[in-house]
Amino acid sequence: MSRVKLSGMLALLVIGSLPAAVHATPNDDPSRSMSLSPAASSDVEQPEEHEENQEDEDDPSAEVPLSPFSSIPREDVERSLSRALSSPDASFCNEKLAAVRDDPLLCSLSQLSVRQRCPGLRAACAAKPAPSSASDSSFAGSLLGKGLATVGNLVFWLVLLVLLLVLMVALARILVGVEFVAPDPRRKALPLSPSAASAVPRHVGESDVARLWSLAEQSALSSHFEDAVAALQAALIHALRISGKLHVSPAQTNGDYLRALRSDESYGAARDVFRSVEAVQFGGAPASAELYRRLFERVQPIVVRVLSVLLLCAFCFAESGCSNALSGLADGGGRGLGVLTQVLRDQQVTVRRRIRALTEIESDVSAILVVGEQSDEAWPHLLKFAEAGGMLVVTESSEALAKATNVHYLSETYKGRLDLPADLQKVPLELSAVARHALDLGAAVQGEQTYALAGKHPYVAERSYGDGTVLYFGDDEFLSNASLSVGDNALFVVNLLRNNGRVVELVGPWTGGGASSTLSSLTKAGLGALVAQLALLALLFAWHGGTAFGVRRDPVAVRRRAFRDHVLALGESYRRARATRFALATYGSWLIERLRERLSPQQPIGLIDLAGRMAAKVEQPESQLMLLLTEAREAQDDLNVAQPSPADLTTLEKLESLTLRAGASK
Amino acid sequence: MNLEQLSNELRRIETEVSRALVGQESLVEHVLVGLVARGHVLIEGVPGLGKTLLVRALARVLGLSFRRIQFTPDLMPSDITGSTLYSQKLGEFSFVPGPVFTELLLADEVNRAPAKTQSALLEAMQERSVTTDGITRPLADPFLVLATQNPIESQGTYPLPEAQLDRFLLKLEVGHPSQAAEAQILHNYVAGFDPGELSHLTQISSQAAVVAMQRALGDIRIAREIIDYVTDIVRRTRTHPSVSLGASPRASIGLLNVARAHALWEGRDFVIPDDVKSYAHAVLRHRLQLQPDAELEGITADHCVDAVLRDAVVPKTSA
Repeated sequence: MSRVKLSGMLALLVIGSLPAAVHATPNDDPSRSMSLSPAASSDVEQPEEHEENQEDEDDPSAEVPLSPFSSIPREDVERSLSRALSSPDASFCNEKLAAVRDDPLLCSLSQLSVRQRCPGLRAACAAKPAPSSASDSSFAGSLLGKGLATVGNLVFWLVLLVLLLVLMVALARILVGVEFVAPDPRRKALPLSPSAASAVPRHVGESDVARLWSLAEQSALSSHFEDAVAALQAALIHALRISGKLHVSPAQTNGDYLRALRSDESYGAARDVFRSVEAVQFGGAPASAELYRRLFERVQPIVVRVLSVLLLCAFCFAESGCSNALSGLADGGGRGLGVLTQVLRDQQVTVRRRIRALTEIESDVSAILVVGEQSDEAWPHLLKFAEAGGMLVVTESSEALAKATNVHYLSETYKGRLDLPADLQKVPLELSAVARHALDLGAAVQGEQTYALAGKHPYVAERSYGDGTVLYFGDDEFLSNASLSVGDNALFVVNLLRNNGRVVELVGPWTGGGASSTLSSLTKAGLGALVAQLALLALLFAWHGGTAFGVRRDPVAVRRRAFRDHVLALGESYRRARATRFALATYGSWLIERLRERLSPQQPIGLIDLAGRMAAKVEQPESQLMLLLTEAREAQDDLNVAQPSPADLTTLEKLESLTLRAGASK
Repeated sequence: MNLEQLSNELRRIETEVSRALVGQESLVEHVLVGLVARGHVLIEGVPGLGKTLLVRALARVLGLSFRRIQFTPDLMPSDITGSTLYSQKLGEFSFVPGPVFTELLLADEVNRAPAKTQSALLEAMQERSVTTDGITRPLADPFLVLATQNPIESQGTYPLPEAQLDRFLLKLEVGHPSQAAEAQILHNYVAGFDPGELSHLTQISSQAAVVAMQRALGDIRIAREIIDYVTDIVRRTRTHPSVSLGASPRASIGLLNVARAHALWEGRDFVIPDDVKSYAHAVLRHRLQLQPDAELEGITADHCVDAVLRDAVVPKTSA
């Protein structure tokens, strides 16, 4: 790509830029901007550019410095930005309190740029004065965050402590038991609550053992012993259900439950309880404090055992919930990468998070954006990728990277607009950043390009590495949603990343988290402890309740009934009703008519002629056929007077045989 | 005698009868419950399971009179009820009672007699009396008909009409004994047991004691919820999709009486849902007329009763 061609692209960008956006300062070190970066030389098809290039080929004054920011029109990026920032996911931009909640960085950036695309953000920042400087804001933000974190931690542990205390008290009450003291009979019974006073006892429909247990205690303390013993019985039944010993349903009687418990150790206790409660419920026996105490002692060991297991499970699950170390990156927040992803995708760039390890990088990947710190094992693979011709985009320093490229990160705070180097001064870009780092490029090397300066230090630069390049950003915050929402930061970044190809992968803490096996997947998802606990629980249940988790039964075959089945059913009904005479009369009548239709369709004939024609057809003596037809006719005539006899069935069989031979069944 | 004593006596009767009829304890219990509930029992089972032996042993242990009628296609009604005959010696007509005038009547192969003869039992079973020549004669008290029929349908059998089936309180299905019980039967046979000779059985009860048991049913308490449960079950049989004709109100009364009798058997003075549920099959199975297509699909009355019991909500349930 010639300089002439690039100058045309620059002209296009100048035409399309906003008038108020021009801001450029001279570069202190112009020599650093002389070479052509591989990224800028990307050969992306742009039909309009070719036309412009043809017109400018003869212009000798078109020695404008190279601009890598012209391959994507500003309008396209603005459109993408508008769509991304208006999305409900971009919470930092749409919610008025986002700036306060999210990060002080947002307010700082909103003050830096003239073109702020998030009016809600600016309003929120105006409501709460933004910190005076980046360092102050960072400090205040960190103070606020630390304060909130401390309070949150305190509340969390307080709640946990209270929960533990409650559980321990509950466990102690169950294990030790509550000494029941019979209320003074002179004292008037406590009034029942409306629900208790209703016709349906409160324990009906309740399946929670702890609540039933509590209900029994409450009823006993208020001298409603009938309800109390019924609730005790319900608690016992549901405790046994949880133990896997019973299947509980409204159609099951106590006898059914006892039959299920016949070989169980709890059979005796259950039998005693059931008999006593039935005597109260159906026999009119009085429910007394003594009865309640006796049943309580029988039920308590069984219920306690079940509740203990439940509490143990609760503790186990609580632990596994705390051990979940999953964390995610909020793409919609101020520090997220949602805007960058969206804008790149709008430019037909495939953006994907890399979950797999970096050991084998696919050939279609054109650029890798490294977000956050990476392990030492990752860097050789990343540098190898760059060396092979890919674009490596980095935002933080690392020892391996510095050693390989001799580029270091300096701790320099800078808040304000970024300058463009001398060779790009004519590019109308408004870049802003709240920077904490700058770049130290060291000695100039071939294939190096500085794109933006934070004060006197390079902030965005590119350097050749092998066949590829390494693109440096001073901070990862420059790529964040908040940063891209102001000025021309988005246009700048998208052009840099887009130029190199079509597939950009984001490498971050999630990279290498992909699992090679199911076990590894569970472990990496933080579910290992949970699954282990579930397996342990399943083993406990299997050991306690047996291995039959379901009742085996043969599948029900849905049979389609054929017409033949209905006929057979009808015949069966006739047989049961001793209606053989009726069947003979009906069948005989049908057959005679059918034979007449077949043998003499033109004119009706009598039985004698019919028998004669039949004899000729089936080669059977005419007298026999006449006798058969006569019997069929007589069955019709004396249907109401004759008694059925086994001879009817014989005649029916003969008629059926005749039907088949005469072909009347067709 | 109080309820506990009556219950104990019933248990002793069962034990004694089981000395002769090995491996059919459940059948004995059901027959005794039917007897206490003043009902008649239809026993269905293949030949050779000891149905006749059961009745004879029962008669012996209960101290009741026993007659047997072998039903055949040519059996006449008067062969059951008795008839008036002219006595040349006395020069007058006198009534000769039929075998129905007994306390325990075994109607063997009851479905081999025609409907006319079967209907001769209708009045006896329901009214507990027999009318011949315009004179109504009461039957003995207690009066229990134990009828047997072969489940294998064959030529020469006449299905019992619904009206008569409805008069049987219980229909019991006798199965083959277990291997251990069958081995015990053989041991008894080798040791000299003679089914025709039951003198070794001890008479435990008496006619008066049986009547006392039947009257004690009136002392068994029935909660309102139990009555609702019984009616719920019976009504559900009428709406079951596989049933063309459900159980009658007589079935409801029978189920209630049987539940009371079972409570007495258990020594309780009140009925619980288990009493109802455990006898629902025996009371209802012969009163349900199935749809022809359901029969073709192999659905039986017991399946329908199972479905009904699965849907009926037990009173005062803990679920």
